[in-house]
Amino acid sequence: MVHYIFRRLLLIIPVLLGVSVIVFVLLLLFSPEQRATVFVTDIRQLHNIQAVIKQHGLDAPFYVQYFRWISQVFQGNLGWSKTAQRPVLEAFFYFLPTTAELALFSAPLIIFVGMHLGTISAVHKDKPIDHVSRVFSIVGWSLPTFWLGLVLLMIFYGYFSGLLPPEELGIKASLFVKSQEFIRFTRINTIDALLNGKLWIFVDALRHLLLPVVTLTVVNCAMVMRIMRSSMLEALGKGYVMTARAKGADEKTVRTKHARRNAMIPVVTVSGYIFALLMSGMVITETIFNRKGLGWWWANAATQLDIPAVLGAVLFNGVLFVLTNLIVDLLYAYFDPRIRLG
Amino acid sequence: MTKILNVDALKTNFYTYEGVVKALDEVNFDIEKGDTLGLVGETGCGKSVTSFSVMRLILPPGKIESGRILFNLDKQDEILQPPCIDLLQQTDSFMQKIRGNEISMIFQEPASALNPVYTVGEQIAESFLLHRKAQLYQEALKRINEELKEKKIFFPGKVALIWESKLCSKVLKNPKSFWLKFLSIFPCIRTDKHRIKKIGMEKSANLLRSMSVPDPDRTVQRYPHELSGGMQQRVVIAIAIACNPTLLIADEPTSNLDVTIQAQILELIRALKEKTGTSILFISHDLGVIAKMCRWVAVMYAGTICELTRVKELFEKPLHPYTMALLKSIPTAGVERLESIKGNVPDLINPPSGCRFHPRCPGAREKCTQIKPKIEKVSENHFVACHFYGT
Repeated sequence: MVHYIFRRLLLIIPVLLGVSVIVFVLLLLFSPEQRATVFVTDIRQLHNIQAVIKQHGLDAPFYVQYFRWISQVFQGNLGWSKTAQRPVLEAFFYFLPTTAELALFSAPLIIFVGMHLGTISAVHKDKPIDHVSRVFSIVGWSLPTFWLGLVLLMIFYGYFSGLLPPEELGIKASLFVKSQEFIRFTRINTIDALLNGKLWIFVDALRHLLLPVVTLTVVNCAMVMRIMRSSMLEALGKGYVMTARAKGADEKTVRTKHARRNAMIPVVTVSGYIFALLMSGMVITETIFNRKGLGWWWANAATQLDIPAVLGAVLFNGVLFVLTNLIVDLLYAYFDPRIRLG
Repeated sequence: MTKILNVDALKTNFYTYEGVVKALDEVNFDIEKGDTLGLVGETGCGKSVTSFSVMRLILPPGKIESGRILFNLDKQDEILQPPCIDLLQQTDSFMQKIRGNEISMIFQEPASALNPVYTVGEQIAESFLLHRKAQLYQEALKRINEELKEKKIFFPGKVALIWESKLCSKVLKNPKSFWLKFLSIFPCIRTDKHRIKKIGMEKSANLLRSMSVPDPDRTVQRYPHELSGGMQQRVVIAIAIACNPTLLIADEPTSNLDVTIQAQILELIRALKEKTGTSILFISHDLGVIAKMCRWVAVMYAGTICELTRVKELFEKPLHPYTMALLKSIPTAGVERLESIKGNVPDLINPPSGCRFHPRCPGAREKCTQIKPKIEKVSENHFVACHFYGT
């Protein structure tokens, strides 16, 4: 197992280097003049842009520029984001908690709901309950995120006047959060509220979280459900399930202990993928619910041609997917001894 | 001899989209205590369906339509019931107590019959846990008490042991109590489970040792994919015999193994039978294997039993035309040409009228196409289902 983890960790290095090369090639798609504007601090420099290019070596050969850039990246210098009015790395850590909070709340819910619906569907195949859960999941899958989000807002924010509002926190709570009394440990509102022992802030943050979490769950759990259903059906038809029944195990044990453990393996893949998608910023969800997270920032950056921010997004997503894949592989090994020992 | 199993007019259908597959049509046979009955026939003739019907493991779209499966419960230590019961009338929860405990099954493909994500020890121990839970917990209590007496243990260790013994006696008193279920939410508190698992593993290792598996203590820690086919089949057998069943159903246990391993497995099953005195329903398509293993043999064709007799008599004096044809198709040294049975296995959605064998039978007459022959006693120890047997 240790050997397996070590091998997987070693494999990350070339993959990350590949990601960095791709990001740099994207950067090179811009002409030296365009890239030089990043370094312009005084409007008068624009008259002599060639000097700026020379000064920063933007016309140097590819590899020279790459090594200069990668050494900057290693020092954490990804440039200045004009949309966030901060350096990219700092802006990234500024927006990350909001996104992470939403992802941490919705990903487990998506996986839990999807897995249970899938199991129920598989166990009661072709019975009414199977049809109901399949219809539910496929309807959720086909609903556009923005439509569902807006309808939910209309009902729970409009009709029930402010029951479940958008944004991260209410005015009172957000003022208190910004004050000196409130210590920001993680910058994730719910966790910080609990750590500070302020239950009312926690409840307020949950109220604001509920709608986006529900939106994301309804839209995304169909995929988990479908895969769980098919892999559960496959597992239920396997010989070992019959062996378990012939041993005298009751139907519940047969399903949970024998079939589900095997059926989980493909679900792990989708779950990792969904988690990575959620972490890389839910542009639409964050825009609709006006939560200032990574997706919101990158959407703004893209529309305002904030190149360093967009490149930072690409780099972050690359790293994120590599890491998620690593975790998925490790979970595979945990669930499947054939991989662990193979 | 007392009969341990009596199958009477068993009828099993499968309701598929194409139509109703009449997989078993009035199957009759019985097994005496400590005896081995071989069930032989072509692929798809209903051998496996018979065994699954006896286990009551026919899943939808299949359904056992009618008949009786009388089973003689002669050991009454676990379940208190009158000795003879009809398995088809029992509830599912009662059948769960029967399966693996009184009747168990060895499967065809050991590689798929074992769960890939659990060690073989865990899978064998599950049999113990399902049917010998009280015994395991008593053993655990005994060990805890010994440890408490013998060693000088420091304070925290002693508290942990006392907690464990409390849990064990609680489980022995009422295994389904709400309190225990609540504690199971936190696995680290249920320390009794670790000990039970350890005892289960030891028992599995002992079982494998008695089956002369090399290095059983390490084998129980392995996963099925790490074992060879023969070893996997040994594990499947160990699961089946863990609770000393009265009836063992072996569903083609050697058909996927190579010949040397096959001989070993057959020898193992025979040795087990001699040691424990279980009755065996041995299913195979190989008459040679049947001849080696069984005293009685039933020949099946298209969901019916056409001949039931002693093995020796079957080879010497077969009476049913299908049996004769089957015996002619076995390769033997000296015989140049093998004869095959003309035609194909009938479609069981629309089975032939009358005798199901008549379209392929060389001696078929008018009566065969209309009236289904009943299985009849023609001499001592010989039953045939044919209107014109022996001709």
